[in-house]
Amino acid sequence: MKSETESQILPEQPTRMSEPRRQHPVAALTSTLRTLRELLIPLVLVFFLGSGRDDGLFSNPYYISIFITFLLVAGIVKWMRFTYRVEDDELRIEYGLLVRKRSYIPRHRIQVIDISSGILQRMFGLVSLNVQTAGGGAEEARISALTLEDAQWIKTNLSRNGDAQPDDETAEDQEPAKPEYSLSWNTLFLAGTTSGSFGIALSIVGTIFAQMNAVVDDGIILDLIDSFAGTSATFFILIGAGLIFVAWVLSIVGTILSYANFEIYKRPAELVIARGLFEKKQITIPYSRIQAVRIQEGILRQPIGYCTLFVDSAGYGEQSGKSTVLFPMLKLSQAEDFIRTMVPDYSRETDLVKPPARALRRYIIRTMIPFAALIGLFYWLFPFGHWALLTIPVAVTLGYYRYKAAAAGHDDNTMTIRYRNLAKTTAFVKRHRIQSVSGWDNWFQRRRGLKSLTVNIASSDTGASFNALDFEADTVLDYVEWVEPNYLSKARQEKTDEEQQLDSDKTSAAERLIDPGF
Amino acid sequence: MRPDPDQKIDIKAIPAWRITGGLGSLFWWFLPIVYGFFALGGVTERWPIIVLTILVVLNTILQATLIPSIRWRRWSYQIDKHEIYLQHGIFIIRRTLIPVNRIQHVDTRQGPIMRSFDLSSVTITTAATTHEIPALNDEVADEVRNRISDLARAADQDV
Repeated sequence: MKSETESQILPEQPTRMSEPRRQHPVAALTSTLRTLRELLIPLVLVFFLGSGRDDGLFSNPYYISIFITFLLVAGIVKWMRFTYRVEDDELRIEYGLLVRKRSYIPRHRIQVIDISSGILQRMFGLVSLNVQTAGGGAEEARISALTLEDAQWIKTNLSRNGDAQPDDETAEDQEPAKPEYSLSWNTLFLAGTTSGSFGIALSIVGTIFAQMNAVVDDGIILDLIDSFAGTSATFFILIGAGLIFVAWVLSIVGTILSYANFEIYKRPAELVIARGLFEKKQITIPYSRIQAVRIQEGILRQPIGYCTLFVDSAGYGEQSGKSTVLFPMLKLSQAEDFIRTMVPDYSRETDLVKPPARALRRYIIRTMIPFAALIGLFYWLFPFGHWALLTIPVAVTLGYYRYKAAAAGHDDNTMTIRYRNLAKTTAFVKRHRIQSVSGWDNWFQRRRGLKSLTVNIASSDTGASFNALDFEADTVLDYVEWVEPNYLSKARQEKTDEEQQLDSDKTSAAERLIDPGF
Repeated sequence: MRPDPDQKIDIKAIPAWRITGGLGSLFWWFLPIVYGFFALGGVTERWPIIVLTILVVLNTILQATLIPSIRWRRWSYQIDKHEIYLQHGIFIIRRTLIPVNRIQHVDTRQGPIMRSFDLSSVTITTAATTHEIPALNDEVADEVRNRISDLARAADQDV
């Protein structure tokens, strides 16, 4: 009964979407492409690593085409079996080949409806619609190809405040005209040249290059080496420089692809991020899900005074929480303003405490341990392994800068922890977002009166943690206590107790003064 | 500054850990054995066999004697209205605070060896981490579990 009355509230065409309907056929293609993209890294690995042997499944173009045809057929079947409709104030999606799955999402569970369009959708004048729900589980729904008109209709009729404030909806549609912050092309290019994905790109290029040996005839390479009249060292340096350059260009392209047109909007209860060159991506982060905010100064970005802002959020919809780039490239001097505007809760200027000077030695030794392991391995494996000893000064320097970066502080409700792995990171966490906190010391730290602090927050499947290493033991224990839910009232209580104690001391002193017998 | 947590775990933890630790440490014996096969087959040097053997035997002896009593001495916990404190560790001593209103669920569990000593452990789970108070007497473990779960429910209503 209730649902009937509710469905009558739907404006105008109440029956328009109530029939099950398929997506536009382009959806078959987009779903195939998405599967391919998800498999891209394993495929590349199998292709390049497996090509050493002739029987490698993916070294043969014939097998590759069979594989792609199979994916395409799967995409078409998926498209045929996928229907959606809007009925009784619910988005009803049914899909699945053998096991029919029904996903009914009532309007009141829907948090955000995003309309976006990738390059394929735009070629056909279509959009895709993404529904995010509150609460965990795989409740997120996606319709990958439909007309803008239909998408708008669903959005208007299923948005939580859809019928309550229809004016608001139209206002929201115009909203993209005014992002709070956006990324200029110059800054984007700068972000690309200093991006940290450089290392990843380098390893991919390196792998591909190593496989060239297998693909290209050995003779050619030998001839090539011979043709370099110089020593083989020059040759290797040249090759190395070439690889680094290619990796660098790749990382610039990668950054531009994913962060072009970066814009961040502010809505009453959430942040909306839009980005992407060909494929527009829209991310919604409800304020209530934010677990921590991080300012990261990468080693290439710190010298030119730039940083990246991240936000860690707890799970909603399909994603089970993760860290999201809040802004990819920002002048460090503007970070404070940015946080004050976009995540005002996290705007703090807290006095930070540093680890004591006697901790420096531990920072350097800690940094050197993995280096020592690598040096040992190189020494053992390669004839020219002793060159690896040259990395010792690098380790010492890094350890020193880790010590320099380390700091921690708290005010009434926010804890700040600054640390450096490679990039210098400043993390801000609210007390009520801390899942657990540990103060710990090992035997060496105990001897020197030092302790380390680990703060755990809910982000990603396993949770994330921030560490403040080798601080004064008392400071760390105080920070652990700070996490107690009623720390503030307790601290106040202690303060008033002290004052009362002081007062009573005074009165007794005064009494004693006027006591004639004294 | 807070003093150490005031509750100890059951003293029967020591004999129980001697058994579990001693048996568990036998796993590492595979190292000298596997290495021995390679070395005696002439693939690598032989002297590491002796080093590895000494190490794993020493580990087993320590696990069956000294380590359980150190571990027991270091373990303490305290359950307050708003937070739980745990403190434990042999080489690294760790004091952990879990705010009660962050606790998602709490349960007790028991392995076969622990059962023969009437011991259970209490597991506390938050959205990010899992913590264990090991080796409590069965009744104490039930009581602790119920108390934490009551506190967590009360704290939820506060918020």
